[in-house]
Amino acid sequence: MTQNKADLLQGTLDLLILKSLQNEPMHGFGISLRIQQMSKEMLTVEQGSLYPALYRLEDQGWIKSEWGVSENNRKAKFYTLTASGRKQLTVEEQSWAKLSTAINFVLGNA
Amino acid sequence: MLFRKDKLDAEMAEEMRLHLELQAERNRAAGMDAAEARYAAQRQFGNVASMQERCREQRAGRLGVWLEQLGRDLRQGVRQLASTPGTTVLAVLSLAVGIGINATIFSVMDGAFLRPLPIHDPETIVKFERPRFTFQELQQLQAEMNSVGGLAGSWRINRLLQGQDRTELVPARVVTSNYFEVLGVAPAAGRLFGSRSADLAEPIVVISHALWQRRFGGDPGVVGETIVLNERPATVVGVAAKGFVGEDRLPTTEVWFPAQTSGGGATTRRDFSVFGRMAPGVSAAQVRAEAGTIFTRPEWGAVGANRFGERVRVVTERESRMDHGGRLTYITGPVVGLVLVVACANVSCLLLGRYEERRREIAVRLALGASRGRVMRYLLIEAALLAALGAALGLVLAWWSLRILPGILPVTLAMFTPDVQVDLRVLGLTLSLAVAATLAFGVMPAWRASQLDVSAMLKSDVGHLGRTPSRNVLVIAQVAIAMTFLAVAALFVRGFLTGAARDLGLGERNLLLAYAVPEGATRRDFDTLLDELRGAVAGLPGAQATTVANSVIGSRRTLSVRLPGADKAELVACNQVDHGFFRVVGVPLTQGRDFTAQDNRAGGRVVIVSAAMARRFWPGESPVGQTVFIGRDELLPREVVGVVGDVSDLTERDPATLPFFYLPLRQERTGDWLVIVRTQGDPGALAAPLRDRLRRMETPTATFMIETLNGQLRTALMPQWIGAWFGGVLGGLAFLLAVSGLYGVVAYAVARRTRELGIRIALGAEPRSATRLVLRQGLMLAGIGVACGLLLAVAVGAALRSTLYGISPADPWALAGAGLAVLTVAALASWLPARRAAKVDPMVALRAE
Repeated sequence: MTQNKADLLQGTLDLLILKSLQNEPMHGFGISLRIQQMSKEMLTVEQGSLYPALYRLEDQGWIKSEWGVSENNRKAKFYTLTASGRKQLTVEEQSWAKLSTAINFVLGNA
Repeated sequence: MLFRKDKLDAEMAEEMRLHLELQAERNRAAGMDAAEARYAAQRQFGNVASMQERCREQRAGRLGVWLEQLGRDLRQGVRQLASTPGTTVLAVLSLAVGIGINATIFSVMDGAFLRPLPIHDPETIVKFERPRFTFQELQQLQAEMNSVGGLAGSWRINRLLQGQDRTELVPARVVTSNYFEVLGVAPAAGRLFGSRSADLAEPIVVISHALWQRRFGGDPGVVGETIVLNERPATVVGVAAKGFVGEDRLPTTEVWFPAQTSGGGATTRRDFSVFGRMAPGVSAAQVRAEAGTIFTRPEWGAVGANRFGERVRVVTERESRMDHGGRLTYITGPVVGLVLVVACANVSCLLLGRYEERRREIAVRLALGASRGRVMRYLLIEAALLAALGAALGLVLAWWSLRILPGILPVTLAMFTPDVQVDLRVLGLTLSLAVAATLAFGVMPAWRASQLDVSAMLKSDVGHLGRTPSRNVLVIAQVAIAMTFLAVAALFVRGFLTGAARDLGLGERNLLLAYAVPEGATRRDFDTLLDELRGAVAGLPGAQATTVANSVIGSRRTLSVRLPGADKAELVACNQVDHGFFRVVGVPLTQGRDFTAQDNRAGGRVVIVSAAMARRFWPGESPVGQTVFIGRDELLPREVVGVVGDVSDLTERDPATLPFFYLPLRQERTGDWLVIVRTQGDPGALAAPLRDRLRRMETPTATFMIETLNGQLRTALMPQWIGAWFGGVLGGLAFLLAVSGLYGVVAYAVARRTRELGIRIALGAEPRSATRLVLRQGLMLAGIGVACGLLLAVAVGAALRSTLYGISPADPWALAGAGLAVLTVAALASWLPARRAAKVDPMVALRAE
């Protein structure tokens, strides 16, 4: 029940999900693996946060879902980035870049 | 939205199952065995149900989910309430009483004071309070003031409205002809006064809608009819708009006369209370400022400040209403609010106990992934359902009590109960009370219930909603509030009884009093009329003796009294009585003689004085035969012919300190007659025959306000009477609630300690000691509550001292009596459930766990 301590910054999970879907449609488990890989195992996405986030993004129209067949031949729900999702990804990437630059300035690393 | 739910839920489950499978596969690949891999995957995944819940919240918009959950919680809540009918009924009744009494009192206060007058734009009416104006002054003011568009004035009088079957006293107003125009009141029938109303040869009146309905059944034909007011016929020209009862709501006005503004009469008398309509765009402050400069001019000296030094005060219509009743509203509001507080505390207690019983269910909900907020909301919905039911029933209660209230109130008070009803304003108040109540009684128990330690709870059965200090505090508060009410009521009852039982100086109590108005009487034939009147009553079966006076006890007049040779006069109260008065009412004649029929205007000028007056004016000597100047205009002295015993003036003051004197009725120019009849049995039974007898006299005589002496004394003790009733009813209700709360706490303590009590008994404790153990807890709570309540009562009593009729706010009888009564009932309420403690069967108690 307790929330994860490895808290991602509010809103960054959305960015990570959109980014992981940039190249190909994926199902939920795949997304969580992808994020893990892309972050060189430094980030693990809690399922408890992942699925609500997926539903939220779908509700906002940034991703869409359809049923397909998974690698182990099971029925699976695949998520695809929509056109507005791509736009949103650009926006979020930019704002993240700005934020991280700013934080680096603050920390005196730049 | 709901129909899609199942499909979406199935898809979600499918998606998560896939996730678990893939995770398990991965785990296996990493070297775990199949079972371990699956288990690890589940652990990593976390609580499926809770996640599904949150996914659902993300999807379909938050409102939809919220509504869907609300619907489910509502159904669940209804089921829960229905499953424990006893508690539910108790809680709903508690709330209904609390909300009902608030709605009732609010209706009365709203009808009397809070609601704006039913006139056009009441916000722009200003009143010039206190000093009165002559008609010329009113006109002059109108000419001088720029900030006020129209000025009108009125003064109050009472008129006897005579009719076939009954004569009643109706409150009337004499008004300037622009009165209705300035107020912006429309006629319900006929017309209102026009600019020339005052100059008409024939007298005309406008009647109120209520009078129209009451006396004429709402017949439109009343316009043009002639009614008789104080023996003078007047033509009804119209009926005022429904609900309009004058520029003040209390006392109400039922008949309006146009003031005679040309010629003599009203023009020169300083009678008019003045109000006006502010000019467009002008504020009350501007009117106040302008009035301030006008009234300081020397020519306004007489009005600007009257002889009591009061200055003209410009108040808005709203301020005027608040001046009259605002204070009462501000006092009664919180007082009846307290009853609702007690009710809420009671329901809080009930809910705490109920949640305690359901702690397993709540724990399961939490374990299954319901968030705290969700559980709290679910519990609050139950509370809201209770509040809604309570509010609905409370409204019914309010509606019902408003219907029966006028019947229970004493006549004089009922006259002041305006036309009140349950309307939208009352509904609004009830609704907000229900919401406030839900928050007040629901939040705390729900908060505590949702703070359960889930794992401890599920592992064993010992988990509790913490200990129960909050319940105890609630019960103590309930008892304390109820105790305060009851103790204050007891103080009033003592005051009332002391007042009713005190020695008034009258030997007789079986007296019937009737105000009589002989038709067409002129002052010339007063003597004949008096004899006729007395003769008519004397023949009445059951009447022992009869006389006529101005009043029976107390005084309606005060005159200056001066001894010959003295240069200072003193104001002394007096009564005008016909012969036989002292014998009829039982006041002893200690010296000299009573008046006779010959003490009339042709006879010598005489006076009878009270013992207290004799002591004051002629200390050490006999007053009989002495002379005294009475009244400002009298040039000739009066001779004292007798001395009688002292009589109370209906206040707390000692009769022996009140100088009083009596003038012969036949020497006075008053037609204000009170027929006094001493009866054999119950005086009230003679009221109808007396009215009938007087009506059929040769000079038909109308009577109004026939009452018994005891009735009149009760009226005089009205503040005590109201205090006793108000305190008693509210205290009784609060006490009922408190007792049920106390019962609940003790019963709950027994239930919770069943195991402990079982062990005690198994170890050889006497069953009775178990009872005592629980009983002590109940009595302790009640005792603390009673002590706090009594202290509060003394404080409240001190604030109400002036109405307690000589009773000290710390009156031991009242406080001890009320305290003992509360303790006794509290003991009973604790004993009933405590008895069960003794019946605990150790075996059953221990196995039950």
